[in-house]
Amino acid sequence: MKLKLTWLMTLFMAFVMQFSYAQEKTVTGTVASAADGLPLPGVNVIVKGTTRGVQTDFDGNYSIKANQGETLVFSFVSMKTAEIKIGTSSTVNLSMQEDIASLDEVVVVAYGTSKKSDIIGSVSVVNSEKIAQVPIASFDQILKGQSPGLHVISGSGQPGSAAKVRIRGTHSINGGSDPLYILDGVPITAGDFATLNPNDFENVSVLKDAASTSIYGSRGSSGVILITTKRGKAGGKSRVKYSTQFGVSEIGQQRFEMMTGQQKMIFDNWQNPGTHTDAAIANAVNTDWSEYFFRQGQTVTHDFSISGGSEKTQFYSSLSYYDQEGIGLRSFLKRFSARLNLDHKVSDKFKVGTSMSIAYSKSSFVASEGGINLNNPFAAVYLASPNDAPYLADGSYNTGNGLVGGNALENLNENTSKEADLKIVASTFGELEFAKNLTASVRLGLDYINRTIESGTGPNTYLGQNGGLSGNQGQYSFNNQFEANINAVTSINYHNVYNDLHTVDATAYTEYYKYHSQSGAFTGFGIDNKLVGYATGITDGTDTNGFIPTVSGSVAELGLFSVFGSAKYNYDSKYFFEGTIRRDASSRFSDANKWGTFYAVAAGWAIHKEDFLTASWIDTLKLRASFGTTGNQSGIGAFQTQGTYGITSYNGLSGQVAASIGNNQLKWEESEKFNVGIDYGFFNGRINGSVDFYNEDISDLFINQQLSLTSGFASIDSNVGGMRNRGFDGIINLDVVRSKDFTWSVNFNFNYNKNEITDLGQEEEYELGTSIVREGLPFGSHYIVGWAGVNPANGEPLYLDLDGNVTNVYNANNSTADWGTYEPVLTGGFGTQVNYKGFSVSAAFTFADDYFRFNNQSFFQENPNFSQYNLSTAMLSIWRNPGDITDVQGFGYNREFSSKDIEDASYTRLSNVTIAYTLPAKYLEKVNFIEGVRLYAQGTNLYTWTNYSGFDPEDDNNIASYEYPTPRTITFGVDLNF
Amino acid sequence: MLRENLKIGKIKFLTVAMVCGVAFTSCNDAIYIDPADEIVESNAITTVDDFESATIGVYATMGGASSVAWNSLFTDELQLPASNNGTGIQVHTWSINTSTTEAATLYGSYFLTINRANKVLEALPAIIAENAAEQATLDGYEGELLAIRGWAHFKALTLFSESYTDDSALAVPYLDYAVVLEKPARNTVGEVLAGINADLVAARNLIPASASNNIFMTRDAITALEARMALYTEDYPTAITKSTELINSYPLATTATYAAVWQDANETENIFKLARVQGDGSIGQIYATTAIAVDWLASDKIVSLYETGDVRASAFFTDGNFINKYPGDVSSFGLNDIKVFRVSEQYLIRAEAYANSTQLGLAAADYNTLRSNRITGVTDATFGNILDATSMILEERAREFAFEGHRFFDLKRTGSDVERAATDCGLLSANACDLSNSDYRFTLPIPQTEIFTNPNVIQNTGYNN
Repeated sequence: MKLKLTWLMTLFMAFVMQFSYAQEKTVTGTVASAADGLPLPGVNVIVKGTTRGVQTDFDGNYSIKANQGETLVFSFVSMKTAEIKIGTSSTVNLSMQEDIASLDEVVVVAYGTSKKSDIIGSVSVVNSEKIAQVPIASFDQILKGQSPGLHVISGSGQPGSAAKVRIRGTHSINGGSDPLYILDGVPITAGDFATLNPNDFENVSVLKDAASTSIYGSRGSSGVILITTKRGKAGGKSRVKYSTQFGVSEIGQQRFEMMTGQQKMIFDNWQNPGTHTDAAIANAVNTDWSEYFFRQGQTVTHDFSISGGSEKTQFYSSLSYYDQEGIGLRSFLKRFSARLNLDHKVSDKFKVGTSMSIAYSKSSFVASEGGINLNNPFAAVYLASPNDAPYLADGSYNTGNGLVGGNALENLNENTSKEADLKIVASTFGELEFAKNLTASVRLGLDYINRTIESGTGPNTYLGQNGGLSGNQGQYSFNNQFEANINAVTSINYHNVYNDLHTVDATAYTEYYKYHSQSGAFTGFGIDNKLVGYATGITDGTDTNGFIPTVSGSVAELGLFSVFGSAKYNYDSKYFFEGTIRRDASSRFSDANKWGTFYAVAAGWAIHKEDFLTASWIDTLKLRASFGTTGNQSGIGAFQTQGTYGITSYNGLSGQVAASIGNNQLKWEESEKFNVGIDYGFFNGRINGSVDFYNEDISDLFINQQLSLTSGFASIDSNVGGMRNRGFDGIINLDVVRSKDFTWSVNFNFNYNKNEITDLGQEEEYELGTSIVREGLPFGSHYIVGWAGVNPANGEPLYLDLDGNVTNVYNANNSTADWGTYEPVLTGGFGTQVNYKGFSVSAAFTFADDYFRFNNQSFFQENPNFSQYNLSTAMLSIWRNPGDITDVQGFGYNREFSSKDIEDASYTRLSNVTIAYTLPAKYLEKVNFIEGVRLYAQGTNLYTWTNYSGFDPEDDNNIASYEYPTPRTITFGVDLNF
Repeated sequence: MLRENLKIGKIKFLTVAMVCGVAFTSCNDAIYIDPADEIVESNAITTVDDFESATIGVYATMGGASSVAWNSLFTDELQLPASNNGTGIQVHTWSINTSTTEAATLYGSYFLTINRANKVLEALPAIIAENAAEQATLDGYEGELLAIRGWAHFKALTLFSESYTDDSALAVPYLDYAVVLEKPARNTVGEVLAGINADLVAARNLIPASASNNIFMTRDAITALEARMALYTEDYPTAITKSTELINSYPLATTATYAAVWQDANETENIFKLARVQGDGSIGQIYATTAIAVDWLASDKIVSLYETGDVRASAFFTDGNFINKYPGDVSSFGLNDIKVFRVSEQYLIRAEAYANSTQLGLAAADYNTLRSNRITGVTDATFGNILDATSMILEERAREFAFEGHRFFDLKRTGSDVERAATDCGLLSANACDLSNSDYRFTLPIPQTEIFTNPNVIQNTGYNN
């Protein structure tokens, strides 16, 4: 019956079409902005119900063929869409009204999208303008300071390296605290973003509270980051865009100074009188190693994209090349990426789409990055003696025993450390409205990475001969691994609006997730000098030559299966209620604990819609509250519920040994989250933002239940701990000036997070690295003996005992936890933007406060026991004579770790400044194939205010150990629109 | 029309339900995953072959290098060169506290061995021997595991006990079960020694007399351990009996063959050694990673102890102070077997035991026998009194066992101080030339992590104030 009707309709339509063709005429007109009267270029003008459409030109003019009685639809970003019925006149002009509800953008939320005004969870969004064309390869680093409650800390300046990302604090001690990352519906591996092109990103949503994350169940505890890539838009001509950028990177500020050649020799003589003669000191070799180990790095990027489409099919396609050299010799990242996003309407009720990105990247690394290791150039540059020359007279490297600088320099230049990644992220979906108000959808996704890691050491290098390598003639190692995350989500949604007042939306889902990985590796020895860095250079091993290669490999699988649902109701967009529930089963847990249930409830109240709120300056005032639970299972090994045995060997005979202790009681960490917040907008949106208070109580925390060393293991993971995060975050955006030619806005966001360990089960405390885990203290509390200075009378170091008394005895038992934490308490960012005609200037700052770090570098640089290396100039104030007032103890006393090594690393950093100029349209009229030109200069990581004395106050761990510092980068770029 | 609609709706709904169904049926594949490349506890040790493999695993755990390193770093065996890469300096300058990593490593490694041995022993009752031959095989491995357990307890006791002779002094926990969550207290020296003796007696009965491979625990290895224990605990009659057994069955290497012992080319003297092959840690790398990358040199003091004609000097040193006792081979620098018991020790054990039993003539005879196999053209010595004898034997032990992991124990048990030569402590900034035997650091600290975890453990004197 229905079929018949459809047939009749088609027939009827054909008649109508034929009839209306006869009436077609050309309609022209001008579209301008109602606010300032300026013409609006790029407005989509479409004949309603057809695929006929054009865009206005630079003067706001359009011309379209249409019939009398048809309706023209005018749409433009941030303007109210207008519909005008064509009458007898052939001219239709329009003043477009600004869409106040344009603040009401569509926001990507868990398993879908929502109007911003309908969101009652705690969600913040970073838009593509903030992400695109920043010369940083890993997008997480670009998010730094952009979103309240999202703290991003770089651990390395190596091009492409990922940052440590925390949403509202640390959520686990032994498990992971990394957010869940979802790209176009596909869960992707955290901390592995160098092979994704951030210029493709449309926006990034940060989900923080239970209302927005609980639906991710056992993966939602640490928050969720949703990334949506750009998609094509219907109508008008296709948009072609080309962007390029060129720039340089250099080392940022250094905050400590090493001795010169002469200073070092004078110091040597203080330590061991007569080591150097006066004549020798006068003629001291003085090598500034930074000239040899650091360089100016270059960045070159090319980015090309096309988007567009018809009513039925839209596409976005891009191609990009990114090439960045680091400031450390040998380090670089080159990335080649391509993307195709397609959407197609099979019918009004059936939509399909696909997102596909493929990228290949190659990286090269410095040696022993971030390690207290003399091959690490960022250690060698400071520890190499200024009295050594880098090269010998014949031009060869000055290598040898104790020649730190020459050895490291040769290693960097002659040996290799490389990685190549192939990453594919693909997803496809189908969505069918199979009955009125009922939609079924299926989404399949794949995140695949193939990684090859290689390193080569030449047989004639110092390291190749003296690095303890088998056979002492270099090595070549190769490791290949793949990881695949596969997921499938099936859902049925019911959506209806009753009486234009009651909106009901309910969805039931199932999700399948599986992780696969496999790796294989070998290391060969006895490298041919002409084939350093290649497998072909390996010499076959024999019983006597020491070149027998080593091989290894591994395979792993993990999985999750889930059933879940959500229900939403709102009354006239004024009162909102939501609930979600999810059941997850994990392969990690034993049968008894396999399933976990997580839920959330939330409510919202749009107060500004109430009649009693009459103040006209209030646009938005919405109160929201949520409570719910999430889980965490990351950090738990695949088979940690069972003890495992590993393979070992004795005299070449294979044997097996207990490799881990199992705990079959293991289950999810569970977090209860409460959030209450206000969204506000005043004075036509000139002031807007939000403020949230939250409390998170985590129970069943995985704790390394410490075992006696007599057990042969240090600890066993058990769900015995508890932790709390409590704090505020907020954002304020302020448009100070908003006029036709000149706008000035400022913004500020912050997060104050107070972490406390509330329960450790049977234990009260245990040491974790350089910190202590203790009930009542925040996670990451430094634990060390207090430093009380140097006794001026005899130069001996003084410490504090547990009662705070000064003592000359160093005792690790006197360690206290009075030295702050390496997880900052207050973090955030602020920025400003000024636009004047075509010019714009923006600046962004990030900050972290109440943040302390353990400076392990000073243990080496300020320690006479290590005077075979270069020392910090701080050592020139070493105590030598009674009465010397100094903080450096005399020779003859051991240098111990003390609170002297804990430094206040709070900082404020100017992270980005961009100055841009957009050419006025009139200059481009003659060049009719170019529609827009934007020129800009951009600086990242320009300046840092801090008292910290290491390289860089920012770090992703507790301790400073010669990390690769984040460079200062300056680039120039141009964006062309065709 | 309504019915039609419903029908179409139904069909579509069914399709959707089918897709969901497919997802559901495959869910087991996501949530029930068996370990692919790992062996889990439940099926690790179930057969005689598994038991053998697990016993090999315990041998692989036995550590020797850390103890050798501690003996060298703590005492007067080493000199700090400018090329040191930073390792070992804290121990060398006696900057030792409850967080000292080296001490924690030693404690952890011996108890790891004990725990693994106990774990394997606990798996034994469930394994059923099919025949007498299999039973004999199982018995042999059980004996070896007991002997390893005894050895590891003794090593731990010598490092972490304040006294070797005071039976009521605190030693280490004696463990004959696999600890998991238990928090064992320290047993007394007497209790630990009794436990070790019981293990060794049982082991001797289980290991066949025919077992002679010196990289595994044999009856001779047990005897050698008993002789050393007897000497350390000043039970001289037992020391004499046990060492005599071994002296009678193992010849000494001669001046001609001595160097070959250190190139693993001569097994004459070796009663028990830990085999080290390519891929294992190199003991020689305690001192130098290669012939050029030198972290530690031999002290001037020890180099000067050898007289002209002493083959040990040329076997141990090159280029003056470079330590070449573990030359390794072309494949791995410093990779040699770790000699745990050599017969030369038995000569010096017996000499010391005789001397302390005032049998100075017999003591001198053993002393001279050893020296005549080490020094060309050496003349026999006589001992005038016990003090002379013991100090000369102590010095001979310094020569014979340099860099072999004896010096610290010898100084500790004989009440001797560390006295470094002035030229050996030149580069040291700390006052690190001499350390009195009465100093608390002559006993290692129980690691801070153990103190935190295990409330039943009492710290050694000196580390708590």
